[in-house]
Amino acid sequence: MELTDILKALINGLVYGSVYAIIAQGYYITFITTKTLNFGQGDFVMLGSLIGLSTFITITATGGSVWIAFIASLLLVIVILGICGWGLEQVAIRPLKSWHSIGWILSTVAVSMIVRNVAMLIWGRDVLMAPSPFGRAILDLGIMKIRYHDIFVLVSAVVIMLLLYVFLKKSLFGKALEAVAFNRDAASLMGINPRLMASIAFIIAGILAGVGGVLVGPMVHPGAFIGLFLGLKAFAVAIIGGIENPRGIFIGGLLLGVLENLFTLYSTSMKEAAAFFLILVILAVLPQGLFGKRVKEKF
Amino acid sequence: MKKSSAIILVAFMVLFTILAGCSPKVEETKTNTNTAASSDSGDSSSKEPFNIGLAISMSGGTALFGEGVKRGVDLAVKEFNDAGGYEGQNANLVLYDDEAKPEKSVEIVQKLISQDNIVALVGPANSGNAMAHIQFTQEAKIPEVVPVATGTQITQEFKDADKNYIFRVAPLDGVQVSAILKELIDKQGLTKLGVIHDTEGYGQGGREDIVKQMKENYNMEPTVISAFDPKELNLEPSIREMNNAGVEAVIFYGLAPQSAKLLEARFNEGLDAPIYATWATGDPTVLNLVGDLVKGDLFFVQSFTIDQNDVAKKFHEKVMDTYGEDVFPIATAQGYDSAKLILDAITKVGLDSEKIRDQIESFTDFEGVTAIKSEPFTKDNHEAFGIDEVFIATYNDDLQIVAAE
Repeated sequence: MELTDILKALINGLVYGSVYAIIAQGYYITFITTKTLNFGQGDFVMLGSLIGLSTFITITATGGSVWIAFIASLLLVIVILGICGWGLEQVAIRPLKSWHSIGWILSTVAVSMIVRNVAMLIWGRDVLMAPSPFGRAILDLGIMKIRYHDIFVLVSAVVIMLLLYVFLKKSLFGKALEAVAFNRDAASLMGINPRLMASIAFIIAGILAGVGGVLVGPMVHPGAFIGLFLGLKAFAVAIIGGIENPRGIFIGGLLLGVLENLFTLYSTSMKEAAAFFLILVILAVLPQGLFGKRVKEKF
Repeated sequence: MKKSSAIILVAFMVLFTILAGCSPKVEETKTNTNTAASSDSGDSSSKEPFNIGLAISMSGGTALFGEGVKRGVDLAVKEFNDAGGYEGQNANLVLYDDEAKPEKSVEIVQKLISQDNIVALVGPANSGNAMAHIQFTQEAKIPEVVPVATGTQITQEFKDADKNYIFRVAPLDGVQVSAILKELIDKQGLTKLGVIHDTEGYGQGGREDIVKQMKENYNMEPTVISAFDPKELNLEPSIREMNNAGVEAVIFYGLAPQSAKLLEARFNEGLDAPIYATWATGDPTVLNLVGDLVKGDLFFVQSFTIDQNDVAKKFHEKVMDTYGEDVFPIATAQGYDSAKLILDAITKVGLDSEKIRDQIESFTDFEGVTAIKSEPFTKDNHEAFGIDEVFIATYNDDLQIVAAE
């Protein structure tokens, strides 16, 4: 096992891990505001990558430059997935929330199934090729090669995390979101509309899924079925990192990405099993996740 | 507010139910027009036409195979009818889409047998579908020629029966492995071979075939074996594993989407050894996904290439003339030969299904466009392609599949 292999696995892991982390922030933001989350987040990612791919191809085919195409597809995905997030909250979360049920688990899964089937009708069942704005360009560092797109994803992920962090911690809006999370009734008395905040949380979650999809598209061959895989990994990340801790989720994402890629140095066949075994171990020792707050239940 | 959300919810569900309901209808009309088109293509004849069935995937993961085969079968039927049919009786092709699903395959094959009264059937693209429905063709004594599915068991299932009605014009898995090993070990004298395979049915079966044949025929073992989940996003680790082990050649066993991922990973990582794969990697889907990454040091098993001989060249031109493109040359060629076996048999012995079967089994003068022999089958061998009929092919600079030097 050479040093460059380990280095390469590290970088690969960071790139994939940062995508998991972006998607997982969607779980965080809705969980803190509504104590619910979208189990179909992965399928929103899939939707984002396919819409992004179609827009990108349409614009480049009509002669637009790759960067205009990329930005246009990103904007379109943000708008559409934002609407999807809002719609999800309206149809699958809000009607069930008042019954104090856990029916939202099924209803979000139901929406994800619908999304997947509709995507299959539109884009077919086969995987597609998603071009990156960087094409297939590779940065050759001598000891190793990295795709420009991978670097771009890593940088974008850090920027998105920073923006999200600033938004949540510094802006009035973000504070309102946190206030609802902290104490819904008190926030309501302070003039914050918790329902509006819930909608906004789901819109942001949808947008994060969409952006994650646009970024991950060129790294994989997107198709109607990629959502399950990505959604599951992101969910794992949210749980490892501690679902109420955005920094924990970011670190958890990178950790899962790096660990699963390090496992592949040992055996490519055992990668998934090893990663999820690790999750079991972490949860057994630290049930609230690596960075979750330790809360003692009082009876 | 609550009421309105409930209304939205209901509206949403109704909308999607309608949307979801649309899909099979679309397929149904599509297949109907196809059937109509092929039946119209025949000359007007005083006698009732007889039916030939085609049960293959026009949608789903193997849709491209289905489309390729359909064109080949259409061509064969058209030529048969243009030549006057069987004593003035034209052949009519009845095509149903099995959607690459075994249960659907059973349904349409039963429909073909009992409602459409087919005299013979050209079979599916998926091995699972074949295994699910062959008992019905066997029981109904309808000869079936499988043009794509490669699972070894398909033609073996009824080999001990009095008469086996299942034939195949596709390179079965075991033969493909033999062809690759023959090329790498016998011809090139390599000793360090790596294997990359997917962890689902196709790749697992391939791996077993490879390990078994290497052990039994060459007393060797693969230097390194790398398995990956078909849903895996990144195959670079597998490529690195091959590089680290210093293999001289890589045998890849996976379907088209994974082949595409492998080639991207190879492009990103660089691989020191050539890749040898099954014909699944020659699927045009791979080319569509990764473009010119297919060029260079990528080889796969084929039974037909457009340059293999004059017959093949002529056939390719005919396909180009008829359709303006050759979407999947090998599938079209195997589909053509599958249908031609049935139609030539009908010309010789008439429309009795059992006699057609006997004739297919005992051809001594068959002329196909693939590497099929003039005497393709015997009582114990229902495989058109053995180790001598398949060969190694690659992409040329124009991105066409040609026989490797």
